Amino acid sequence: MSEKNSSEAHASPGVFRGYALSSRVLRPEEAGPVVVHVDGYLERGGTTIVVGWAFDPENRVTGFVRLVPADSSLEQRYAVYSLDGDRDKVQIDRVARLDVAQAMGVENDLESRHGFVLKIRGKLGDGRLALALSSGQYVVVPAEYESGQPNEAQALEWQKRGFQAFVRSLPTLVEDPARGFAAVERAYPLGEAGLLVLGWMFFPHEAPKTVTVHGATMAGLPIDRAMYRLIREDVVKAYEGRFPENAKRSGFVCRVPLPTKSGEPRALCLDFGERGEVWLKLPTDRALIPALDQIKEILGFVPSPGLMRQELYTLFDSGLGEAIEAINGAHPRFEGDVSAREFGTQVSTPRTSIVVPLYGRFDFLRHQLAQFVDDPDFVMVELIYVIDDPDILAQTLELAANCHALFGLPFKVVWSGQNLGFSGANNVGVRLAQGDLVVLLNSDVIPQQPGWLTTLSSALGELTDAGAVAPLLQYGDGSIQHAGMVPKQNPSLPGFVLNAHPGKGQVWHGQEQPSEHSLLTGACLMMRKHDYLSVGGLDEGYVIGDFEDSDLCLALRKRNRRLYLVPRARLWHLERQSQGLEKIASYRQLLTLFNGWRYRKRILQGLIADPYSPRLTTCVF
Amino acid sequence: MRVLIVSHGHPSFSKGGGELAAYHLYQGINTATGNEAWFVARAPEDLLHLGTPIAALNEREYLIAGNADLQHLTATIPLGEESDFSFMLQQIQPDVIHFHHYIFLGVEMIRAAKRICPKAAIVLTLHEYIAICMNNGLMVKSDGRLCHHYSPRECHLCFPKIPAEEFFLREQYIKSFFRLVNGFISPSSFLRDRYVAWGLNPDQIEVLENVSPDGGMVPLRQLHGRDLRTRFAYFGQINPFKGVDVILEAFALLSKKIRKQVTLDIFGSALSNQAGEFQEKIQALINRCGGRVRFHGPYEPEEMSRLMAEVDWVIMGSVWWENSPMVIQEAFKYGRPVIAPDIGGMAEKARTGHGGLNYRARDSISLANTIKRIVEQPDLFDQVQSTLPERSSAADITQRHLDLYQRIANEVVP
Repeated sequence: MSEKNSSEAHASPGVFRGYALSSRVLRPEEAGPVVVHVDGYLERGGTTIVVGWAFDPENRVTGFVRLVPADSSLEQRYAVYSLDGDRDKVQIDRVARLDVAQAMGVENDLESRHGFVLKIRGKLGDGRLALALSSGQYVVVPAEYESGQPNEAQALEWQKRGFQAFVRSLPTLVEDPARGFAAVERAYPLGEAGLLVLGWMFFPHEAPKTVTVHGATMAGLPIDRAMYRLIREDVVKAYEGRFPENAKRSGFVCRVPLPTKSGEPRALCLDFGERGEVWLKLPTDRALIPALDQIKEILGFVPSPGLMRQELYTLFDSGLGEAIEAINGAHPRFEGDVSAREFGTQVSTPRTSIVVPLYGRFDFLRHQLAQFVDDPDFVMVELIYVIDDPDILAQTLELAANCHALFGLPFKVVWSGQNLGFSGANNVGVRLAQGDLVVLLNSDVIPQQPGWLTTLSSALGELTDAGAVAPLLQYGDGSIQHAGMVPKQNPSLPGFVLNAHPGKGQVWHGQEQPSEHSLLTGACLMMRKHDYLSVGGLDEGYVIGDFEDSDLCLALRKRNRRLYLVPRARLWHLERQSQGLEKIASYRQLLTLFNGWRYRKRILQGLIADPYSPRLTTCVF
Repeated sequence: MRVLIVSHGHPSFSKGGGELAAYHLYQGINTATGNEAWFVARAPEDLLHLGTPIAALNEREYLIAGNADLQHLTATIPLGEESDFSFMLQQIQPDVIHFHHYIFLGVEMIRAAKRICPKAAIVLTLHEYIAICMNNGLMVKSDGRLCHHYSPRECHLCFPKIPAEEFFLREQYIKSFFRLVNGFISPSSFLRDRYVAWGLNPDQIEVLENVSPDGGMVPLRQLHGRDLRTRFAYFGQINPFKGVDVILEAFALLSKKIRKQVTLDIFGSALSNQAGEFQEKIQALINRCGGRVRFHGPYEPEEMSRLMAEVDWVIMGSVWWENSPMVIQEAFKYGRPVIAPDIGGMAEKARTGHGGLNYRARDSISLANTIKRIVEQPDLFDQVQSTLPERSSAADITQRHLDLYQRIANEVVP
């Protein structure tokens, strides 16, 4: 009597198959039933794994045995071979099965271990697997199908359950001098985009033949080529003296293209061929934390980023970038309700809408109003402040009320209740804007003279193919803060296309006439609202903020619009400490580089124009 | 004309020079026929009522709340259409609103005033450098050195916790309100020049002295025998900016022979408010000078003429620029010359050939030498006293203010 179904012959290696097995109850008149069920049975590379459960409320099961019939009749004499005794050959784990308890009507059964996982070196051998009861009886683990073949859905379900139990029993750290040292530290589920695995591994002897990731119903996905290796000084230190060379670049980050939701069981297998397999669990069970916190955690894993500058672009390109994009993108574009409060009688048909996001410092509102109030252009302006920082909402509204009482200039304040970032906040503002023209304005930009709006809007209307115009921005000491931007590559950060402000900090000697530029800053940018909306506004796929303004400029250029600097319009930009990329120490800087990677990707994919083509000559100051 | 005068304090409760000057002007305008004046003064909360920032003392004088800080100068009372402030202004209906100050009140009050009374002329008297300098408006650096010109970077060096951009923002903010002022008054040319350098339009600032009460020459004391005109006096607050320590050190430096022939009387208040270290320093210096230096404690303005009768020379020791020190005006009024440091408004108002002698500011040796000269040249007193300038009467200065108002009002509403 073969215990293996003939269908097993078709099993492909590595596929975890479940058997449709139902339970058989022995001697129901004994006190309490013992219900046994096998979820799955896997024979692979010299190991046999049996996963199942035995519902045993009276604790009558004393162990696992193998029953070998002395002759062909099962009911007659048989030899009993205990599996428990042979530690080398058999590993028996009792695991919790809350689903079983629930199905059996036992609530909150957190202590029992109804499940079992048997790992047997080699094959099971002759005979039938059975559970020994304290009464001296045996419950045979059924091997045949009962009442016909299971249907696909059931088989799938048992397969999944079995795999789940299997994975639960796996470690996340393996220290095996004969084969390898490995740890899986994080496994971020990315939904359709797969999962991002972070950890380390090194092998004192030969490396495994394959490294694969497994799901319940999928063949192992090889990932050795997709792993980006990182230096892990901490691992070197932990194994100090023993394996310094192997341990050094033991870190890895890998985006596995196996769609994974939070909690779905996943395992990593290192196949050493004849030396066997090492399995690790991928901990996909993650508490739901906000996207930004996840991203921060992930970036925190990049060791010594300052020393990795030469590789950072490649690192992002090797899956890390896509993973971050997936996490950020899982949180879709804000389409929710926006609250608004109006101060004063708003202009009924404004010509221009000015959108000013506020974050952190909100007193700039006061400083701007002090300079706007006597500017006759503002008779046709709709002024919209977007509070992008829930922590300042109450104080900003109070300040707004105060300022309106003092200055009398009408404006409105809107908020989404969340921090949407630069793109999101501006998009919210422009969505509400009624003017034909929109001006994106940073809160720390204040006009030098009235009339700048007229200067800009005339230029936008008159200059050839103008898509957007920007004024000259100066620091308080009169030196240039912005007079157009250009794309720039930094040899210390190969791969990235960064934005540079030529002439920053220098004296402005330039001409008063408008000039065309590759890129313009979003700190003060005027364009037609229609154009802003038709390129989809500012891209909200950048995390927190960087590159959105140059992205927008390139989106306009993709549509053959041109960008002009209009120096006759001049404002102060009290730019505060912006982070330099000379020293990459904080996660914020890495985030900027993620944004930079994404920006470059969009250029390479042709979604936005190439800033280098055509190459526009830089203005002389 | 209906003139509203706004001050940062009422002299009944706050004895500073700026408050007194504003109040004397208010009084002067009321006595000038055809004109009416009101006086609005900032007062601390405990002098006011609950529930309203305004407290009227009488038909013409009001107290008003205000706790604007020095950096932001943001008003702390409502200034909107329905506010008590607005109501008060609408009751008074001024043709001219003359701010003598905006500290405590808030620089925004200027805009509120203009908004509520669009036809009124706005005038601002500059008494010190609050708009320019965050170190109490002194233009003295935080390490004690004199400051000669404004720059956000240098201000940041004085206040390392405040970035340069904040000073620039403050400057732009204040200037947005100053643009609404129709005419500025500066009591000294020196201060006017500083504000022009800071960016105010020179055509918009007129130099006009503060109003101080009239009084006449007090006869000099009788000299007996070999007495010399070497009785010196200091009048005023005793704080580190007034340089009383510089004066005392000068006296301590005199040779015994010279010191025996001079006396110094210090009429001063507020010593007990100063830091312990400073008080000790002053006390120690007084002790070193022996009996030739006498410390009298505080005095009332009414006593001035009596006190001046016993005094020959008035000495100033201020270590900052000063503007138009009241003590110089008082000294000249009573016919006494002034020995003043050679900087700022002091050197402008009291100098060689103009009622005084100058010594090098902050330099006790220089002052000691000046005193020595005075002892060795008995004729010097008469020479200097003969150069005392003609004083304008309170009525004259008040009239000049009124003329200024009229000129400005014509430009505002032609």
